[in-house]
Amino acid sequence: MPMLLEPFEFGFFVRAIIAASLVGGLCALMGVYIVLRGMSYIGHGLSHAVFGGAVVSAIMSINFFIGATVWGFLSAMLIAWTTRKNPIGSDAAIGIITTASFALGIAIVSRSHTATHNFEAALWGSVLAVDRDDLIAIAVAALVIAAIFFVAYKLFLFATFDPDVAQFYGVPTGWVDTLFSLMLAGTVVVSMQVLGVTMIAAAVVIPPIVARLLTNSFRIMVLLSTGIGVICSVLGIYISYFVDVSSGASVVLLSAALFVAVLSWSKIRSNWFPGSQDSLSRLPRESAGTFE
Amino acid sequence: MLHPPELEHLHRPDPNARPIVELKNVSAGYNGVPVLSDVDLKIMPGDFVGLLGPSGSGKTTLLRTILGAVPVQSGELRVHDTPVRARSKPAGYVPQLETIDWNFPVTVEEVVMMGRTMSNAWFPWFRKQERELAYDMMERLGIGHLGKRHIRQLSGGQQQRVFLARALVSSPELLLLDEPTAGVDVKTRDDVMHLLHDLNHAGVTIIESTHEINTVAVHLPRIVCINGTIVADGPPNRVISPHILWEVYGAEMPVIQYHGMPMVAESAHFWIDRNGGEPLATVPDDSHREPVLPHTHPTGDNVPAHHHHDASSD
Repeated sequence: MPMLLEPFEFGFFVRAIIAASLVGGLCALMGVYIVLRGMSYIGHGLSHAVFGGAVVSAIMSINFFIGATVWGFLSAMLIAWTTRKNPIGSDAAIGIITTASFALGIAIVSRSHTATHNFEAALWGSVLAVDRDDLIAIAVAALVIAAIFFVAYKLFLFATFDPDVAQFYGVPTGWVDTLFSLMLAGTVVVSMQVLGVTMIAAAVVIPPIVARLLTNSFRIMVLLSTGIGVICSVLGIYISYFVDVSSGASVVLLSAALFVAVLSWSKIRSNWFPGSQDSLSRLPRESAGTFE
Repeated sequence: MLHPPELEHLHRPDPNARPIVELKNVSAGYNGVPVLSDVDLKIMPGDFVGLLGPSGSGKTTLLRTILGAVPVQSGELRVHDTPVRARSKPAGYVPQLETIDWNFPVTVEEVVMMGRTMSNAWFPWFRKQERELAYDMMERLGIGHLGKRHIRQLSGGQQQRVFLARALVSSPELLLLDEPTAGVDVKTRDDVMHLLHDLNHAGVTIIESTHEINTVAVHLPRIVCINGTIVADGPPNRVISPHILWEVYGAEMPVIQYHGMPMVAESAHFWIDRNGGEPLATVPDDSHREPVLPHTHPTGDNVPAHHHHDASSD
């Protein structure tokens, strides 16, 4: 028993657990909207784009959080603008814009030969190196974004479900999208330090997908996804302490295992108990004979 | 069956009524390319109008223009007697069911309440009063018992009613529907049409786009034919004629009369071949064709279509 509590004696580990739970919950919450908008890859793409921004702000001595967030926001807006005005799918736009931005970061790093160490941390994630300032930035971002989703819950729901029609009903979809891009950039920037550029995609996509397998209600999906994100991050970091693997990889592998487990369970459930509420694809459509 | 009390005060036949929708010489489209040009259209309170036209003719664009979602390039568009950008009264809109993401995790009540989103936009959740309004409307449409169902666990007719309920939950005077009977079976189509009739009798002005000529010919008092502009506008027995259908669709469509109602017979060649090469079509009430068909001069000058309101007040 004392051995299981051992990691909590270290300040860095406590900070890591708090940071991971905040980031895991935040990514999973954003992830609900990202997945339902069919932009699953934007987490992956944007974290690469933000890497470019981080490098540029370091070279220009701008505060990392501000520089990288602005960069990420501009990339997200550019993606949205490219897909709106041109016959280009959002997957292709994400591929072009974010990779170019990432390449810009790599190009600058490889020319400058300085401070490459920090950028490696951003690439692979170093949750154990999270300091007090990082923790504050993460907490602020998580609080602000959760508050926005809470207050504007109805607007985000309508604009995500049916953006075209939401606009006819007076929902300011343009503003909702812009706000969403900004929140997305903020999420990616604070998550990058903890999870690493390469692992963010999983933290954004897996929890909402697992939640979706378990519920048909939007509200429950939001709560469930956030909870799953928090739990997987905390457990993942905790396990990584004992088995000595990279913390980001540990979190992602744990989430992926949970996904496989829930998917198998829902398949078994729908095969053996076809009447259950969750077995969406197998539910019989009610007959049309109820008109009077 | 369906008489929302809050709609019953609404004007039915009022000779002094102002148009609820008025387009004067409107051209509209995207990126400077007009999809619709020189559209003149007046929709009066209490009208029930079907928009007929081939794919790509601008039916949906016309609906979206009225909703203020398509840039008006020239001309004047007024809805509820105000320029469309500044309109205050909501119009209900029912999208084509095809465009709905049926895997999205929403229940019936969540969708219906979306119709009230902007009535209390910055309050975090839907309030009791909004929930009651939503359930009132769902009861009227016969889906009150389905509130907790996922939208995919419904029949086609029920799905259509969910989106109708969302459109009606704010008691709009104007209801726009994009192909409400596309891809549903015959019985559901009939049910939806009767439901719309009931709404219309309760005072709701309705504009629907459709591909189903015979359905609108039977159910609707007024048909507007579109193909980039308005080709004809009037009651079914004047508009549904081989001549006009040729103008609209560019295809030969024999029209037969059944109990005084015009009907289009499908597969024209099949029937004409069996009639010794003679056209089968009888043109109903051909003498009235002139007023409903805009004169299209070879120069391209369009004289605006007459409206049956104008014609009947002569």
